[in-house]
Amino acid sequence: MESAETTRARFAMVIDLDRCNGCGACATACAVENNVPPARPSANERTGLTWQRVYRASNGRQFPENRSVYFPVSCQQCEHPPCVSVCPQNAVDVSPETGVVSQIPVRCLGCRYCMTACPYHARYFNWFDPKWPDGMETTLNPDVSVRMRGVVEKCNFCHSRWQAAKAKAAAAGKRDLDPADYVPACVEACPEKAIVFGNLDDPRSGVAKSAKSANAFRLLEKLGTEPKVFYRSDRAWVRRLADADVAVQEKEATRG
Amino acid sequence: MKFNVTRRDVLRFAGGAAIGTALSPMPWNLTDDLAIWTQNWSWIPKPPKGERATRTTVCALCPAGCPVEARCIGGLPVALRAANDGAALCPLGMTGHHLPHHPNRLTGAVGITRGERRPAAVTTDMVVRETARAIRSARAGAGSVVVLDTRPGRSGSWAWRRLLAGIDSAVVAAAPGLEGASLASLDTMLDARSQSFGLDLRNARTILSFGAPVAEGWGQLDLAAARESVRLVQVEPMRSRTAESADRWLPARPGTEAAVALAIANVLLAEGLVDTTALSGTDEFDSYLSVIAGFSPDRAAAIAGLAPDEIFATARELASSGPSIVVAGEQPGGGPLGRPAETAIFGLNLLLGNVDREGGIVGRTPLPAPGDDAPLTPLARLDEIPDHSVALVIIDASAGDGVYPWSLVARKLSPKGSLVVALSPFLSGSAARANFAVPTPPYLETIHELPTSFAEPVASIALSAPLLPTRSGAVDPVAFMRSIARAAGLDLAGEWATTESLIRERVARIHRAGSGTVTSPADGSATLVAELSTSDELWDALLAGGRWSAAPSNTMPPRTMRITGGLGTALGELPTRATATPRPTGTLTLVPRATRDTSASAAVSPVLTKLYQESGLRGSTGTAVLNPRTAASLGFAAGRNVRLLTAAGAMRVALMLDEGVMPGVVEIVVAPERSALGEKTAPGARTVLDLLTPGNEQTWSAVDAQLLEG
Amino acid sequence: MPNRGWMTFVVGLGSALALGWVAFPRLQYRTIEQPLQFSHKVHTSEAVGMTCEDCHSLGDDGRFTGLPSMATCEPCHTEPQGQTAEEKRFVDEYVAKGREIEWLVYARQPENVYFSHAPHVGLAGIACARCHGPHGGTDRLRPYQENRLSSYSRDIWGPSPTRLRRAEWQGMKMTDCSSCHDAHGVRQSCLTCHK
Repeated sequence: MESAETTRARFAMVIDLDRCNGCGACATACAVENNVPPARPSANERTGLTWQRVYRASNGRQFPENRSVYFPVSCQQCEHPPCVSVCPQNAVDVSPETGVVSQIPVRCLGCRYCMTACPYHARYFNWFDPKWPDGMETTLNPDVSVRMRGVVEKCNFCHSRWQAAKAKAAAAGKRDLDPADYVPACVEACPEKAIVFGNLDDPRSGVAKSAKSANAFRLLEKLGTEPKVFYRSDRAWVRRLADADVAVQEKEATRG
Repeated sequence: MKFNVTRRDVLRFAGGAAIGTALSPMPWNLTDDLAIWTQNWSWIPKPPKGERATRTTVCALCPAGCPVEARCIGGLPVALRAANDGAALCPLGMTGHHLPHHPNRLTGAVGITRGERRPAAVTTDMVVRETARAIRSARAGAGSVVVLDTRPGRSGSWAWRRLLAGIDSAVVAAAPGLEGASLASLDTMLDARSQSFGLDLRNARTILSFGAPVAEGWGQLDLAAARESVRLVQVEPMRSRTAESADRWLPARPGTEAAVALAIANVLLAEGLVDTTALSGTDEFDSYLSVIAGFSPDRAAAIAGLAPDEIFATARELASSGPSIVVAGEQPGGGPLGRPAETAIFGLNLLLGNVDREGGIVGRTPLPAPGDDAPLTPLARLDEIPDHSVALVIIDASAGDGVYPWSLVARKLSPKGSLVVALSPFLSGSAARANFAVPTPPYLETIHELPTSFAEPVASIALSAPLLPTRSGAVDPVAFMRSIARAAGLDLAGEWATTESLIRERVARIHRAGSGTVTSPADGSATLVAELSTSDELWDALLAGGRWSAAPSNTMPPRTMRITGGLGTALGELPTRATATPRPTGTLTLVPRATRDTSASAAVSPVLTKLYQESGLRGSTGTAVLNPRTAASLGFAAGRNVRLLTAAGAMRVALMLDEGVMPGVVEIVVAPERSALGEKTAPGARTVLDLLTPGNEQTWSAVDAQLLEG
Repeated sequence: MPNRGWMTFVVGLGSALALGWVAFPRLQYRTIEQPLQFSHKVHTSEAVGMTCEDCHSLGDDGRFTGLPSMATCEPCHTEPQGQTAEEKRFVDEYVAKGREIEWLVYARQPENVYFSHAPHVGLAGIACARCHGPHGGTDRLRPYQENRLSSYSRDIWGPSPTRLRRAEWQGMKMTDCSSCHDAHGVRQSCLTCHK
């Protein structure tokens, strides 16, 4: 039998913050695609489940000079993810095929070390069993399993879409997928086309070029986590926010 | 032999059993089985299984009617996306397939009593009888009959006018706060019948918008796509998504829009940037000139809190970078700006010669009516109806809803007795305020009609095909009208018995007229209607997601242009709030803040809690947002619960601080109510909109308010 | 009686071993018959001449249709083709009523497991029988043995409680997948097989 070795890829996205206007389409598409349940009445921005969450930050200036920027933040798919080494269950690893950081909820025991370790607040804990209104379970996506109470979950670049694209390629006798077949739900849903997605290791891909452009940056680069989610903005004050903790800032502003 | 069981025997037996168990597969198999057992809780929902397919339809959740591709499992939709390449759906549209399963979906007719936690189940027949009785007493002089249409222009809208034609006191009015409501002011100025012109936004080079959410799909403009060719100037007190994506943002104080528009006119005239020969020589224009004279850029800038230079620059840009178009928008949640302001704003189009010109205000032929030329109930505006005069209000929210303060309707009701009946798929929004609510089939469970939207330059129609079977209990609105006609002895001629058969009549008439084209959503290919041999072919093309558009009409009837819309010098009267400086201490201006997408539906997917509850992106309804400096001057801190007090009452709200809010203004988040997001709450509970009690001008975009401790 | 104490130990040991090795494996599973009997042998015989792919096919999108739907059976079975009572029941209860057969799937995996036939069958050229056993020539469907706790088939663990001395195709646990992946140098991570 021939070896089933596959080509290594590092999937990444570049989000153009000058295009994003904070409509929330990405966060909505993500929840629909990944069977993320609606909030319980008591849930808030700390206990909710938002694999893709849009944070607002501002230039801090007074009206009318005040301007906003919206940061869509999902799992940053770090090259050196702080969440992997802390997991006592081996429920987190980095896929060598895609570079995606996994989170296997059925393996998770719910200790939440990974949530503490993640500097991007991109991991979410199921405080409750998922509940959809009666009948709405018929609208769930069969390609993604539903999680239960007591486990952690997060974005995996719509891995089921990668699996489907691989299967499609394999059916055609190819090992490598067609880039057009693998597009995460948030990328597809963005009305402003603000997100470029692709293989960072493919120098011809749009994402490889964008990630190298002058105004591209990553969040909290000083930590050395090497995220594969890049942002770009032509506004200097937006780029300066890269080292601020946008998630913590907003939570503080809203929760007092 | 005596066999005494000793303690030691028991321990030895247990020890042997323990070792034996460990040497058997039992504990290891059990551990594994148990682990897998814990993955299979019966209460964790399982995704559906079945064959995969894609189906197309048209989104009916707002008047825009985006083509939709549905990913289906076993025939049922599990995900929706835009059917046309390069387009995308809004959060509401993307989750539209959740709505048939909404927890507050009506499953049968209900009677609602204020203050009762749960509505009482009634029969549809009983609602029909009560409605017929109200109609009979209205004819006997108890008051008038008003149908509030939340999606005007549909075949169903026509059927209401046909149904009530025999009743002298009956009118059909658009529900307050719908998109395009401001165009009624333009009707008066152009002496036009409603719906007989559109806004050619796509061909404009400069758009000056007063509060219209142009960046959120208002007027069916895809601003992201038109970015290269269109310059957008936004006049709006809030840093909305449109204001932030505009090329220039003029943050005028709430209620000062008219002053800005009149000052721009002042510059246009003073600098000779416009040709006024077509307008001059009328009383209207003379009074217009006298009003304009009072609004020098300096004075208007002082009123609006802007720099005079911005007014000059905007005026010059309108004149030089044409075609330019000036629009008065309805802030989602805040309603239209009111007739004087709208007239002042639309008047700029008349000055600039933007009428009947590409990229401006263009005439359009109306969609053919679905039925004969029999007499119809007149159309009216809700504010034209005298207060305390209405005996029966029927709210047709079967195709959508509007966001408006209920007091606008309540003030019209006769104190001698009135009945409010709503047709809606959901027990939220308008329906939750009615006395009776009758369930209608929601989006994706029946054919919905998407007639010409207010801004379109030509007439068009699209059909939203159902992807799900209609659930039992839902009542077809036209069948409901037939029942009322029978019970009240009204004459409703015609063969049509259901909404679908009525829409078929309309499509048949379009086919008979033989003009226009059908555009397929998938590849954008257009087919001439003249090439379709039967109306069934046209029907099928529409049900497959196609949109019929009329051929552009070249000849426009000459228009009488009334630049003050009959208001005369009253055009220059601004709200006292706008001109009184300084404001009384502690008085703030309360402005509602909402997003366009979710303001068109009484119910939204519960998954939208991701935007409203589980993240701080949009804020939950009732959150008050204040500039930190304003808060400091009043002694308030973020996270505090405060009481917001207006002329209409008080409400406890959570306070948030944001440097982007205009000083002296308190923005209040008008988002889907908890019931709209799926929580079971008592119907008709007070909402933040109830604090925004307007006068009779149908505008609630700004009111005076105070913030109090506690 | 100095050895009586050890006797109780041996009795304890023996009864636990008997429970663990004999009684438990029986109690662990319950046996359910398939809703209908089906003969692969008849269908793949020369007289009928069907191939595996006629019913178990891989689509262009890479999705595998493991169980044929009634649409596949119907063209031949509107009338009974043979004499068996089971086929008559099939025609009367399923074909005539347009009902699908609710087969019990021996290889059914938990919801969180992702498996695609396309790379395994298509790219790697693995024969069906490598994982599903030789069943193309069987005359009857085996009874389905359902684990009382996990609800999955005995085929997942394999017939032997110790998992020793079993055929290559017996067993579909995670270790069975990953040991084959390891043996063939397939780079793998959690997300390769989980969803």
